[in-house]
Order: sequence, then C-alpha cells, then structure tokens
Amino acid sequence: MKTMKNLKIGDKARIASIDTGVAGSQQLMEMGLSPGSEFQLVARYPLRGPFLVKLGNNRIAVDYNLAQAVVIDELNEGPDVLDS
Amino acid sequence: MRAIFIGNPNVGKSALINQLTGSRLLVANYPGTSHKISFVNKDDSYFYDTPGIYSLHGLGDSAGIVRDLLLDNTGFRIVNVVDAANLERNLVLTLEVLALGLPAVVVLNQMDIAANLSIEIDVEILARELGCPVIGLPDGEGRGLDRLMQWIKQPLDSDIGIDPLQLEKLSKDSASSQCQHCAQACQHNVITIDRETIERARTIAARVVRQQPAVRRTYLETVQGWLDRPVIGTVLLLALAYGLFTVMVTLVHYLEEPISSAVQPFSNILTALIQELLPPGMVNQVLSQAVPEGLVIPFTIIMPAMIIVSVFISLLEDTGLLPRYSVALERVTSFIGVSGQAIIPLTLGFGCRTPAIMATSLLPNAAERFIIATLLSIVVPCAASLGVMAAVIAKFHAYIWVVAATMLAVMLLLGFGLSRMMPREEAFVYELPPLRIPAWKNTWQKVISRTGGFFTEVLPLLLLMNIVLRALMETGVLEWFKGLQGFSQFFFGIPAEALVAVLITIFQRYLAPLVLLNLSLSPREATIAITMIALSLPCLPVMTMIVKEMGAKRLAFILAMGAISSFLVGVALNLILP
Repeated sequence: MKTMKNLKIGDKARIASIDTGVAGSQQLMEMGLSPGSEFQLVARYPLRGPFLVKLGNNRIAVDYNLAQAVVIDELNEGPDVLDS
Repeated sequence: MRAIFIGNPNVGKSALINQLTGSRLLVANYPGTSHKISFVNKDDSYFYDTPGIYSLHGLGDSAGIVRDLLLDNTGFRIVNVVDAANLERNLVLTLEVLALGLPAVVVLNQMDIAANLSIEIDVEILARELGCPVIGLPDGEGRGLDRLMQWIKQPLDSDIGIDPLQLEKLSKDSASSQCQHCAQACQHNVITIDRETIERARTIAARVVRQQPAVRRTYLETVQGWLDRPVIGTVLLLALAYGLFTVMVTLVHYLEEPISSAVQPFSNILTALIQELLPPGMVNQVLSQAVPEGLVIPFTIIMPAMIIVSVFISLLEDTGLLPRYSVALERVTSFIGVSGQAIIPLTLGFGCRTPAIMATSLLPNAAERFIIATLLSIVVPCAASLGVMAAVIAKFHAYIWVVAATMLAVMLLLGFGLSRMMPREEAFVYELPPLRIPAWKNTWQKVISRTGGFFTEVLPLLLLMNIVLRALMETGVLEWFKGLQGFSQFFFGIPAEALVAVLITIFQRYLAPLVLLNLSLSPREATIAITMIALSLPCLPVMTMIVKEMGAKRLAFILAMGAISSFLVGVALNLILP
C-alpha cells in the first residue's frame, strides 16, 4: 500500500482512499483532496515537515501524519516542471 | 433586498462587497481573513459577507456559521463567488448552494488570474449547465459589477424558501457537528460530502474549462517556485523577516532625531503656555512637564515604529507571503503544539495584539486558539511596545540579545508546557494562496486603519499616564516604594523604581518603559527590567478582547501566567547575568 509519503518530488498520483480516523482528514477532503482526485507532489519539508501538493491550480500543505493517511493507487513519474 | 455572499476561502468575497458598496471590510491574501458574518447596508440592500467554506455540509466553525445564517433567515438571495482558476473544486460548493433552491448567481471571480494561467472558461455553457446566471469578473469595463448589482436589486418573490429536504439536511449537519467543539478529535460524527456532487463538479469543469499549457512563467511564478522549495524557501523567508526587522530598527533610529527636533518647538511653546496660563504651584509644575513630554515621546518613539510595522505586515498579508511562513515554520509551531497557521496571528501581533487575538479564529480548535492568545498576551511585543523597548535598550546599552533570546525561550517553554496540558490530535492542512502584487489601495487603507490607533488610543493614554506618573513623582508617592528596595535588589537586582515600572504593566505595557527612561540604570539593570516588562501582562484592550472571545476565566489564567513568567524571568536573569 502506497501513501503520499512514498512519493518523490514531481510525482503525480491519484488518491485511492483516505484514512478518516486521522485528524484533519475531513478538512483534506473538503479542500478537494478526496478519493479519485489527482495531485502532484511539489515539495516535502525536512524533519517530518509538511508536504506541499498541487491540486489543479491550488497548492495545499499537508502535515506528515496526514500524508501517511492518504493512500494512492497510481504512480507515475511527473515532468520535471513543478512551477505554475 | 438581502444578498448572502458564499464561497471558498480566499476567492475575494469581502473584496467584491467592498467594490460593490464602497465598504471597508478587511481583505488579505490568505484563507480565513473573514471569520464571522459581517454585513454592509447600502441603499436598503444588505450584503452579508461570510467566512470562506469548502462545503455547506462541512465540519468546522465556519461551515456552522454559514449554515446558521441560512437557517435563521428567509427572503434572501445568494451570490456564490467562485475562483475561476480553481473551478472544479469551487463547483462542489456551487452545486450544494444551487440545490437549496434559492435565487442564486455565480460570480466567476479572478478571471484575470485565470487568464494569466492560460485558463479559458466558457461562461455561457457554465450558465446553462448550472441553470443560473454566471458573471465573470473583472471584465475591465465594470459592466459585470453593474449586472451583479442589478440582479441583487431585483424584487424577490418572498415565498421562496430553502428546499425542505435540504433544510432538514442543513439542520442535521449543524446538530451533529457540535461535537467538534471539544478539543479532542471526534470521529463518530463524520460528515461526508456527497460523492455524486464531487463527480458532477468534475464533469462540468471538464466541459467548460480549457487550460493551455503555460507558455512561459511570469516572474511572480518564478519567485513562488523558489519560495516553495523547502530549504532555500525557508532560508529566503527567514532572511526577509530579518531584513524587515533590521530596516525597521534602523529607520526608527534615524527618524528619532529629525522628528524630535521638528516637534521640539511645539513642545517648548506648550510648556511656556501652561506655565503662563496656570497659577504657579504643583499642578503647574506637573502639567508643564508632563504634557509636552507625553506628546513628544509618542511621536518620536512610537509613531514611526507603528507606521513601519503596519506597512510591512500589510504587505506580507496582501502578497501572500505570510501564509508561506506557516508552511516553512510548521515544525516550530508544532513544537509549541499548534498548527502552522498560528504564524499569522503571531505575526499580526507585532502590529497590534488586539486584532491578532481576533485572527486566532483561523486556528482549527479552541485549545490552539488559547495557546496562541496566551503567547500573544505575554510574549509578543506590539509595535508600540517595540518602539519604547528599543528606546530603553538604546539609552542604557542593555543587552539586546539577552532580551530577545529570553523572549524566544519563554515563548517556546510556555507553548510547550501549555500544549502538554491540553493533549489533542494536531492536524495541519492549509491552502497556500498564489503570490500576488498587492492592491495598493487596499494595503494603504490597512496601514491607515492600523496606525489610526496611535491617535485614538496610544497618544491619549500615554499623555494621561505621563501626567499621573509626574504627579506621583512630584508628590513623593514614588518615594514610598523605596521600601521595596531590599526586596527588589535581592530578587531581581534592579532598583525599586524600576520595579515600579514593571508593576505599571498592569495598566498598559507600553507605558512601563517610559518610567525607566527617567531613571539612571546600569546596562544589567536595564536588561533585567526591560525583559520583565516585555514578558508580563497584556494591555487593557487585549484583556477586553480575550474576555470577549474566550471568557474571564481564561483571562485570569493568562494574567497569572504573565505575572509568574515576569517574576521568574527577573529572578533567573538576576542569577545568570554577570
């Protein structure tokens, strides 16, 4: 089972499911990071810091615990372009 | 006519109402600027501004506030403000709103930003799909705004109410979300957004949005690309903060002399006038000294600091830089038990702490709000305090690094301790707004309103307190405190008069250092006294705000913590400093 935590910077993934037992998961889904949506990992901060993902034209910061709760079902190498 | 403006966070609801009515609702470039309902009345039309939400059926205080507004009112229409650059996500709320069955219009906002991202939206097809009018803004000609205003002013069929099925759903959501008011994350009341709604939003967005791959990046995107890199971005952001602080200190330092000499003639005239007009005696002596002094010090020391800090903070807010600090410093805020957004109220506190306490409402739960309110009350120096503290430090050559390091240490310790007292699950989910060139008019208005407090609050209070202080000195009441000399020297290593200054923080923190300016202190004594003052009680307006937002019990706790921290810091520094 792969989660957001296993992604490398630039990777794109589709969300398979989210562990709703983790604090903040509800908020995550309200913001559009729900099962079925696709995102790209833009950055991950050191020392178990937050993950920054790009969803459509949005940038959303997600803490380490929550990133572990996001199960992804697809992995592909994204292009090297992270900006815009 | 009544119109309720509903939309996702940071799409520009407040800014749109300001444009329509000429009102001055607070606008900034980060999600969560508005946290309660405010309404504007213009020509018998009422415009309700609501906090940004992602779903009508969501958890969280904001969604509850919007639901209550919808449930408690009848005979209104809805303006759904939508971010054109993020149509798919925004449409989820739009579909929920349209399901209510009320008259509604969709405003496609920030079309200019969408165009910069090479996004095209077919407004006509969107209107047909949604079955309601859609207005794109800004359209450059102001016609869209006129159309919106006309639509709002149309007579309304008063019979129209919320669809009964939806009404029931809304009331049920409100009842079941109550549980999240407790500090613990509560899992048995999960409200899920309808999967079908999400799917429909996806389908509609796919039908009307065309996004060409961006041809080239704008320079703002390049800057943003660097800032959103973990290590480099954090270093850049910290360097910027340090740079702004240095610029402030330097400017205040260089401005003191010219302002002082500009104000001096007025001060001399005032002294002469009072001496001339009042019969000789003690009142004459007190007023002729205290009044000019009470007017000059605020202008030379406090006003420049207040103006510079409010310019910087308004710029950080309007560019979208401020929320970037919340991601970069998430590890630090997590140590004191709060999520990254806490950086926003903490930074606002360097301007004025009263609005900063209000801004704590963008934090996810009551425990975090309380921790930040405590830190704001006890540790964070507002612009006015910064001004006087800097003056005291400069005059007595106090050890600035000792003061700063002690403040930082107390902040971390206090936050760490408090967060362990209130165990709960933490979560940090935050939407980063794109960097923007500020709307200068908006930034300017904020600077004006932030510095307005100087004339309405700082100046009169300082003048009054200065008169009281002078009177106490002249009448010899302060001499009475000499009895505390032994106590004060033993515990804190400072003279009794300096201890009096510390005690004055009970009334108004930024007044306390003024007393120090009139004493002769060694660098060591000044360092201890100014640190004790910096880490003590909040000022009266902050106390009032805390009572209003959190209750008197919480305030009592904060005051006790403030008194203890000030005392302990004094004792500790007295033991440590050579």
